[in-house]
Amino acid sequence: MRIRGIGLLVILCVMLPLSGCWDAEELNQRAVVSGIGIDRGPGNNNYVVSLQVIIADEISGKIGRGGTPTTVYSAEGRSIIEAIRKASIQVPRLTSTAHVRIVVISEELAREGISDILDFLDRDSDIRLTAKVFVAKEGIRALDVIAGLSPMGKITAYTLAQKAEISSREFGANYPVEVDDLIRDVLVPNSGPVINGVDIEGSVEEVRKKSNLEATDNLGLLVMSNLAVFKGDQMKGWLNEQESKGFVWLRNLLQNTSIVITPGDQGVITLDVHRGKTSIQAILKDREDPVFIVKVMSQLSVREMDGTVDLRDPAALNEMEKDVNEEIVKNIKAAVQKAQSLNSDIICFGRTLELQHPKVWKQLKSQWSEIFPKVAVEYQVDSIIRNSQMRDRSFKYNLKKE
Amino acid sequence: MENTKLSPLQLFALLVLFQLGTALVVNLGMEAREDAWIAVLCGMLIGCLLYMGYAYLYITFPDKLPTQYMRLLLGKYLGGIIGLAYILFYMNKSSRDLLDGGLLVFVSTLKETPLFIINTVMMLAVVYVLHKGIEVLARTAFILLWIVFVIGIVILFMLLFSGIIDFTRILPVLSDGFKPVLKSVYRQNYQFPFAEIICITMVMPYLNNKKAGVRAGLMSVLLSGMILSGTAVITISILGVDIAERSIFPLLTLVGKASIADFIQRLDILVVMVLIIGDFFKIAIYFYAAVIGASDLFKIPYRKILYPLALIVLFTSITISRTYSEHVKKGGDVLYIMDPLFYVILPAGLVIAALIYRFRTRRKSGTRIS
Repeated sequence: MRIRGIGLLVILCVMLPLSGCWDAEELNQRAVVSGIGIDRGPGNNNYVVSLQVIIADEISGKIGRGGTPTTVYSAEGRSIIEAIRKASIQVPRLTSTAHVRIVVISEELAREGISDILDFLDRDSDIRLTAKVFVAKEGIRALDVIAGLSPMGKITAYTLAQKAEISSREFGANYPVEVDDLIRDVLVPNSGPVINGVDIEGSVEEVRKKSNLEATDNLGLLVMSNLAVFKGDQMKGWLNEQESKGFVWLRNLLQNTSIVITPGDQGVITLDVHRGKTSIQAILKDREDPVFIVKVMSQLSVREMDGTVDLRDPAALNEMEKDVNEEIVKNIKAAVQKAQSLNSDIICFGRTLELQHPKVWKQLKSQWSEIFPKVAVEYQVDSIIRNSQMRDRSFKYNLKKE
Repeated sequence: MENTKLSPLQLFALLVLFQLGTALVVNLGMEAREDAWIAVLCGMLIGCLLYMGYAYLYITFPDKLPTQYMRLLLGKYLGGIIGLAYILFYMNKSSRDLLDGGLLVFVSTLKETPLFIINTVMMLAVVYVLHKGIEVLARTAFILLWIVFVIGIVILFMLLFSGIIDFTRILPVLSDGFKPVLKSVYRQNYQFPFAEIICITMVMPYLNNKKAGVRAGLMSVLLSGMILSGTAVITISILGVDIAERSIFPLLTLVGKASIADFIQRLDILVVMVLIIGDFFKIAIYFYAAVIGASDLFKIPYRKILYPLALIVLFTSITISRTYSEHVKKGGDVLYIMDPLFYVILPAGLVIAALIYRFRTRRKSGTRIS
């Protein structure tokens, strides 16, 4: 009997630790952060961290007070974690960063260097590596982006992440960049990451107001911008639209894009790229001086035509393919030249050399920053126009005949 | 000795879980950088050779515990001392593994819970199962092995369908020649986790089928070697060698990356489950080896000595190191400075002694016949 009593006591004692509630945190005690914006503090070296927090009541609808679906808290600190901790003087609940989808860095900060931010994103056990990173264009703060409201989708951070993905799939001038991509690219010698830019079209002041959502054409809208080029952890410049497209080709990440050509007297012809494949080959004529051959294969279809070309004729298509090739080369060339002028090997020529000629790479590695800007690049583009959608000739073809 | 019997399949399950244990979740063979997977495979081959040595000892003395045949081969005192050394070694290892598991759970999920509580709960589970006997442990292993396999397959498919694997990241193969690989093998990969199965020699006398049991052990080394090597390939080809190398817990980071259409994601808890299951068996088998050895050496009944030793393991696990870095550093150094004594040198000595013993007994029996 006594043994049973002791046994019962032991069981009761054991139940205390076994419930495992030490770390339990109920959902209604959490403030779920969906996006983080990081700016430089005004006139000092501090970070201003802005947290976009989801207001669950407004999202679910019934018990909402008609406020905004997200709210922004921001605080200043010497480091990012300190600022986040400091933000707790404003937030009534425990901030939980496990669901962060986007991290926005202001251009000013990006130009100074982002290594501190990268370590925070890399080390933190809550934020996942799938968070997407953006640079806010000069003139707008990361706070403005984080504070913005979106007409479609309630949580701005999530819609921005979706914009990055959709625009890369449709327009092909960017690709979603996640935290681990950044960390890998920062470490490549004489190279650096490339980050999506984000911009506000229209009024910076209006985009954060709920009234902005009550008009069909918004006074302010968050949009994807071009790509920001880094060298190491410092931002060096922006690619323009043409260079961005060329860069996506070079990285072999193109999913879909359109190409506009104007062949002679045939008006404007627009083609869709359905599949693009790029490979880079390093050829060594002599050991000091590698030549890179960029080979592009693409499959296209005609989408829009303002001329009278007879697309039943393979010869006409061949002519058109030549123009397409030129257009693609123009894009890629622009990207390569920009990378060389910024002296940041974002195209990964160095890595290509390492994989194809490891011994030569070992010799050239230390001088790569002098070699890369002068490296010779050749382009070979091979396009095939597979189809012309639902019609072969334009209606103008028959007009002309009569 | 207990009167229990293990089937070869149960031994196989025990050994696979033992080897996957902590090795699956920590960064294994990263001294070889991109070639970690080659280092793991090399380690596996050496592990197979060592295992054959251990199995030879078992075949020579199928009904005796190592602590018993050590005394038979090397005399009462020397054999006794070496047996005691092994017991202390196993206890040290099991408390190290307890701390390993505790710290990883602490770092990754239970950030507010005191480490001592995590370790205590784990040790309670180990002691409970071992109180029921090795056969219960083996049957548990067989069930949990399937769970681990299912989790592994789910994670693998998630990663494949997320489209985040880029195999060019493990290139170039052997860029600095074979030297870094050999260094990694010498420092880590053959001992951890393959040579560690030496403690299974304490369990082998309970096998009901000698030949099939030995073969099952060999298969388990091959299988877990291949799983670990494949994990290294996938880790590096998703995270890149730099992030993987700096990670304390690469598999967890890796699984955080997996996401299918923003819908099926956040499978982290599955990895923590695999860690806890594997770590449980690692602690349990090491601890069992220590307990059964001590009970044989000091002639104290098994269940009586189980609890005091459990307390020792629990408290050493807390006091063994102050920080995670210290723990890893100590473990890493001991692994190639001291551990080969227990994994290679002493077993080699025992094998030679066993060969001589066999030769002498055969001659004795030979003379008797003539």
